[in-house]
Amino acid sequence: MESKVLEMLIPMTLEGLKSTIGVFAVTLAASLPLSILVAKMRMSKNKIVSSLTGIYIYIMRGTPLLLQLMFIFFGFVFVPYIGYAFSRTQAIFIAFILNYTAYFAEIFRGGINSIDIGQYEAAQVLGLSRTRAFMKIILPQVIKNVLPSIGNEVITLVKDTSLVYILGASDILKAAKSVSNRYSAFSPYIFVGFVYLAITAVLTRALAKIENKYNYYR
Amino acid sequence: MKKFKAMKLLVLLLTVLTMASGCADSKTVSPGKASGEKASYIMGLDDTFAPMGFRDEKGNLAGFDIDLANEVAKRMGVTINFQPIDWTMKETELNAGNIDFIWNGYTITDSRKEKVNFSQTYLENSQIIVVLAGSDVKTKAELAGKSVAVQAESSALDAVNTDPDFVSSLKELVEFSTNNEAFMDVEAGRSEALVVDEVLARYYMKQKGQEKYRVLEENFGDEEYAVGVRKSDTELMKKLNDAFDQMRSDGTYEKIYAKWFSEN
Amino acid sequence: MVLKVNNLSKSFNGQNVFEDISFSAAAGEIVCIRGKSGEGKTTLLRCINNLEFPDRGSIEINSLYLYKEENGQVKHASKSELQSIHQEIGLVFQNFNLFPHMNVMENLIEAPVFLKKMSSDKAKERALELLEQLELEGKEHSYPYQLSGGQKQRVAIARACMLNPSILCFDEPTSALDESTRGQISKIIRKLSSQGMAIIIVTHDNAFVNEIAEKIITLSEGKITIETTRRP
Repeated sequence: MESKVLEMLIPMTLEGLKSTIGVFAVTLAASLPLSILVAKMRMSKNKIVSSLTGIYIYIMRGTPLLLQLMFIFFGFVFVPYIGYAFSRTQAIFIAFILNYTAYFAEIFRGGINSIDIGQYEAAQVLGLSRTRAFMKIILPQVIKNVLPSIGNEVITLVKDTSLVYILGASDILKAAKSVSNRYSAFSPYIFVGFVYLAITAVLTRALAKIENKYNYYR
Repeated sequence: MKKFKAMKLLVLLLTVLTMASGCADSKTVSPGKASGEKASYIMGLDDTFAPMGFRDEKGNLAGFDIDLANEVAKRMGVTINFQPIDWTMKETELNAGNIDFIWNGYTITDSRKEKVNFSQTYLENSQIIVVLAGSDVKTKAELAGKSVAVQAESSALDAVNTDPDFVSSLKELVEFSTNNEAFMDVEAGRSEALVVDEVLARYYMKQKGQEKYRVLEENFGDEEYAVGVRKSDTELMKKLNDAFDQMRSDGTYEKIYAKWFSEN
Repeated sequence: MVLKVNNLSKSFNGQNVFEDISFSAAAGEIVCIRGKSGEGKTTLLRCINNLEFPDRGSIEINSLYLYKEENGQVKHASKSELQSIHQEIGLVFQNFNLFPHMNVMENLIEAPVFLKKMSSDKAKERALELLEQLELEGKEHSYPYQLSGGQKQRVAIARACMLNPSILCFDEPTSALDESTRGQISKIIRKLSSQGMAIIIVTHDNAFVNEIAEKIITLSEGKITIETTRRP
């Protein structure tokens, strides 16, 4: 790679990395806890709650994230009564959090369903409250079960962050595109590909470590 | 021990949040309203579009349009902030009030006239057909049955579409999100030719090496670059045109033109 | 009497499981409930342990009503009453339902500490005492998957005994055991009963019933017959 290309590419990639990692970390930090709540709502005995949650999940999983980003930034203003003009940053965070919460919620729902009913009953006859039983007995087992699927989504999220281009935000892919167009060179794309691989490598190791931590029992 | 863990997590989360919102905010400017009396305006641009508006070696915005806009702002007594947008969303961004100008090698076309108001022309351009130097193709007709590349949502695409016979003679018309990608497709030999703004093409061919390409004599007509403004912003349009007039009469325009385009 | 069941009825989808049954258990008494599979003996045990709602009748546990019939309506105990009731009755599940992610000690102290009945230190002390009684010394740091079937069952018994309940229930206690561990479980049950705990055992294992029962309740076609074998 020519040195002038690299000279421009490295600082721009570092700048783009802030967006990429920012979107990634905020989405993950907000979606994971929210999704457990949504999973519980989806499984609620209250028909209205469970079917409304079902519709939400259906929309989030049934439409592209790109479209959701566009809708929240450009379209939400025109929604009667609740319409509001979000800033670019707000729109990005809202779309990513809503979308990933839906995916994570379905994973958690499966995980919660896979826990034997006997675990709930054992907690109940011991006199534990429902909240305590869920937090201390059910959830730790659920987390162990869902970790591989969550890991998949986490890796997908890294790559999905590139979709912020539609709202003009600068992530690492956009940085590569800028440099590529400036110097009419393809090499920035290869470089950024390796940056994605590096991020994924770090995450893969972290996920394996977490999975290992939960391997103390069977 | 547990409390400590939770605290650490909270601090980490807050750091990430501030970092993320901080970095995104610095690139975000508040949405504009339709009015001729504001102190600052937002210009929407595709910041990967060399040589009109793009990132220089240090990652700062540069280009012919950027210099022009800064000069116009000085004359209007306002500031112009630059908001990078996705080029395919430009009219949506304008009409949603997120930006006040579409200004980035924006060609006047009939279909765009229905959506926005155009300022006076500030640059002449034409849509040319570029092939690899070694290609046998010499005319539009010889492209029949071959693939042609073009930037999506671009004036080049609009220009090509004014000639439906030409389009239907092709094997396919492939749309790319940037002209750079269209160039790369031709280089890869998947597309025989690309249709592209002349201003832009000259810049790219200089980057990639003039000798690699050949421009056909036939083209898709001349056209003009102008600034797109919301139809309701008539006052703003008047001020903008006045600024252009001034710059042409006092030679400023010539200076900026000479900085970016060589006359050969 | 620490357990009184009066006129209890339960049906699933209009199908009677049992109807109008009444029995009681005294402190220290070993009561076996037997019947063919599908006769509702497990459902009966689940009603007593608040895992299933009866349609009619009442259940009284150590003078506290779990269910009470008032004006033809079955009234469930309030939340705070339930807390007290759960301390008076324990259940050892057929497959034990130990918490797999917690070691033996954590399994044992979870409920007493959460219910604020004991400090963590007190609970650990009590747990070690029970583990010793049940010949599980040194197993406090093991996880359930590291234990044999008989050991798991004894951990489940210890867990149910942490708050020293008046009644301890077993669902099919011999189903997962081989001959040698069977002898061990009857020994433990006798020991607990001698400490004054009423024992309710649901089983289809007639040999086990003949060996251990002081009162036999046979459930057949929704009705029960009661025979007393040893104690008055």
